Amino acid sequence: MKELSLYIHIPFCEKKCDYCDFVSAKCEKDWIDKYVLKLTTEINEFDASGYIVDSIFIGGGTPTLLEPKQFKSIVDCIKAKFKIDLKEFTVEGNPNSYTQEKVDFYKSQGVTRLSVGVQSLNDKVLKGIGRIHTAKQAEDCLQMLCKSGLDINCDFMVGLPYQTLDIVKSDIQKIVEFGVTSVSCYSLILEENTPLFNKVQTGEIKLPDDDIMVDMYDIAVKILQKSGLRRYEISNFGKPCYHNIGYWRLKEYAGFGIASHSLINNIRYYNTENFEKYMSGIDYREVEEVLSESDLQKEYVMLALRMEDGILIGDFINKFGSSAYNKLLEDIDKDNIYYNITKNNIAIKPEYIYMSNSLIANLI
Amino acid sequence: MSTRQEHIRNFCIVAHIDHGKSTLADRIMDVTETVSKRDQKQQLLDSMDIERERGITIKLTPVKMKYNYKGEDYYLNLIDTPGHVDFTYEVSRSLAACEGAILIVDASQGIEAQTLTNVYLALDNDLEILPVINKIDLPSARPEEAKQEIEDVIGLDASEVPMVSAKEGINIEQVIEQVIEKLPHPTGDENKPLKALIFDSVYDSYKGAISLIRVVDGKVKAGTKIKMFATGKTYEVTEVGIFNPKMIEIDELMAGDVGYLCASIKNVSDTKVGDTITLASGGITEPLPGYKNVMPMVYSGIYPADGAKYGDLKDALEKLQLNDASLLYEPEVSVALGFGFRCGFLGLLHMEIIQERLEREFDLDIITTAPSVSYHVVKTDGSMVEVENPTNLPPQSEIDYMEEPIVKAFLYTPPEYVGTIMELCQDKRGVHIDMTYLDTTRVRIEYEIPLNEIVYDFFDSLKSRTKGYASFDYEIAGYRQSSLVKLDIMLNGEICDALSLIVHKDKAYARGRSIAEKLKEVIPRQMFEIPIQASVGSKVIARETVKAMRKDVLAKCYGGDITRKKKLLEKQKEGKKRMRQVGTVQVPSEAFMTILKFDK
Repeated sequence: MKELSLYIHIPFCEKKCDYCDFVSAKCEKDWIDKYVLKLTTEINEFDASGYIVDSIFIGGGTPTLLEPKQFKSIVDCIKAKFKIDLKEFTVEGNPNSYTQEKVDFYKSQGVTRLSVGVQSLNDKVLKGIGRIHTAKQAEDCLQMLCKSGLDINCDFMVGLPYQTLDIVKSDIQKIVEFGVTSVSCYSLILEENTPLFNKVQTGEIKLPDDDIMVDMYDIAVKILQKSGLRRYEISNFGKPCYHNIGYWRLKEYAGFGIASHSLINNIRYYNTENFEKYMSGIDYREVEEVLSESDLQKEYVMLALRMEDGILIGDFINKFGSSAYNKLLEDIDKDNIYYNITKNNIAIKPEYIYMSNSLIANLI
Repeated sequence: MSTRQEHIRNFCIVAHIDHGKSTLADRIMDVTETVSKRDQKQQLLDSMDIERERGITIKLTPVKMKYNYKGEDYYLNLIDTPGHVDFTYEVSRSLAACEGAILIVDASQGIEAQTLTNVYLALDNDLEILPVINKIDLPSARPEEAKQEIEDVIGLDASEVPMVSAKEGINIEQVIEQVIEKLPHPTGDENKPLKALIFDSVYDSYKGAISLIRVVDGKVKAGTKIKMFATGKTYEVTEVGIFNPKMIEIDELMAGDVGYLCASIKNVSDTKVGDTITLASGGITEPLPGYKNVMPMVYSGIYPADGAKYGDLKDALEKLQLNDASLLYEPEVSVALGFGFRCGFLGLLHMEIIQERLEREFDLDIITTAPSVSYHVVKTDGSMVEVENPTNLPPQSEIDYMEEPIVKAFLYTPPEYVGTIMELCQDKRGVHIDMTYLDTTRVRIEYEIPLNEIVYDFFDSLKSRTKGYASFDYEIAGYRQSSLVKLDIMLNGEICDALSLIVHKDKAYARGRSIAEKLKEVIPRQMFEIPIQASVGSKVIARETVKAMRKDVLAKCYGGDITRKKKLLEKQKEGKKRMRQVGTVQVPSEAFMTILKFDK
């Protein structure tokens, strides 16, 4: 039995955020009903033989917009289809769409981890990126979630318009004090064809410059680590997310829904980003990328070096052989002052993690 | 004197760049029906792409035309000349092959820098000058003023000057008829031993080096055994012919004729421009006057952007040199750039053209170092060395003094720019020599300026300061002692040899600061802080810092992002390949070019 992670994509949002370039669709009940139906069809078409599902991640979009009935039909479908031995079950959502009832319902469905897209606890900053919730709503939500007994992850961003070092400092401090179990901290990536991109282009909105952004990140990292949330991955702190670690160790995963991806038998599948096409059920799986041994090795190295544990030497040799390992060691040796190399692991020293791209680029 | 030679006219067209030389040549060929309409391309004589694009002539092409005038057939040999100061020597040799020259003056721009340079060259070669006013079709044409300038500035009689538009084909016949009427015919002796001038050479992959010649005395045909004066080498002629403008083999070239000669010569450097050809035995003893070995004036390092392409670059330079004996190159090793070549050029345009041809015709990515000139370094032991590469400058303690090449610069400008031009020349360490008002709209300014200031950004500065209205020409005036220093650039404490420059001591500070600032812009952040220092000797005169890289990692990376992320990193790796390692610092190729860019 091979372990398999499931990712379910729920592309609906009340309003798309200004920085977001993901696919999202209008949020109407009958649309969502149809979409959920399609999802269950797709799940049922999957060849589940030989797999045991050990994690589920329902992400988006805004999965918390699903009504309990809709949510339940997905979970029921998964339960009927797969052998299951869950180590983790995550649902993502927005501060204003979590309610006590929903949290209780998720618990009843076996959910173990809730992730909430807070991004900032400052109203001006939130407005600047087009979020529909207020800082107060986010704080209330965090407070409620943290009492649930579930693992709570909070998404946070730096480098946002109107954000200052002081704002980041006080926001992160608050988030930690609520008692979240993990924090994902990203810098804003300005994507083309987003409202924010256009506003920056026209000069209507100014982003903090790179140096300030890095200072923001540094201060956030400092506070998070001081409060005991370990940096287990380059942008993730606290209790490790089992599901995400699966991605980073090249575990097999099956994605369902529009624009989702899968990695099965060393082939990466991409679902269409076109809503009509996905709903038609025909040819919605658009690209298949067959990963060669070298692709896999590159990905493994790239992803592993973003983690605190780095490359697991035994695992690497198992997957790619000892001559590949020797070659890797040779390449790493050129930059060896940046690495911690132990009997079992090769990892980038924490103080150099910020230049991991350059180090990784030397290896792939 | 034979009646044959009375029906030959050997002439060239001289003009300032862009005054319509090649266009007039095309029209003359139209009228004499030398080129069938089908073969016509605009500016037929400019055969290289670069020539046609830039509207300049680099290589010479002669063409033989037939024209019936008053019932008799005349043979007109038109020798096109390069249109740029860098090729002054080649121009002078092609002028030496002629008896007369058509001087084109642009009806709207009047006399420009090279107009006069060319007039003097033509007069030096005892040519009869036939002035022509071109571009009379332009709305801005002021032909009467141009006529006046010809009389006042050059001192030629302009009463019968043809007013033409080469572009529109107006009055071309008048030009041809004046060529026949006013230019002298050749007067050589067919019965004397062969005496011929090489005015250009081209390389053909089948025939080898081909000499373009003007027969002064005697005759030459296939089988004739010949000798080159400059090299002393002898050859047997395999073929002679003329251009129409394609090569056409004929039986014999005789005194007064212009044509080509092949003799299984392997290398263009064995058929040197300006050299004299005579018979291998029983030939003349005195060559034609005026031959000189042309020396490069401007030098720069050329390196492959990708070190692995060194062999390709070498092949390309070899091929270019086959056709261009004035291009010199020798292997050079730079700590920063690896294996490459130090190349010598006749001037800045020549350098640009070679660089462009390497990139276009040979599809090479090259890195060029800042142009330099040849300095005379007199050492304390009294010996003198020539230094073309700043890296090779002996230590300061061994230098007694240094000399740098000085040029005499002629600038032609509307009066409103006199102030800014003089300011520019002063700034470039120029010494004012003379200023003449040619008429109410044109001023001629003469300066002596060190060549190393010209090779830096003089052209660009002049263009931008005068909105393109001023023109400029120069000739080498000799060497002069000067306070020069070597300016080094250090990256993270290590000297980057490819960025070193020799500059005047008063300029070192400003240049050092400007280079450090520019480098700061183009060197990407790296894993550590990089100090950029400009220094003279052990004294640091400017400093900038490239801060250490901090941000490049903070984006999320889940399922679908992985491929994208991998591709980004692969791209980043590719980018690194194009970087040069200077000590511990990765330097992008464009950094080496940056210091060539001129200061606004």
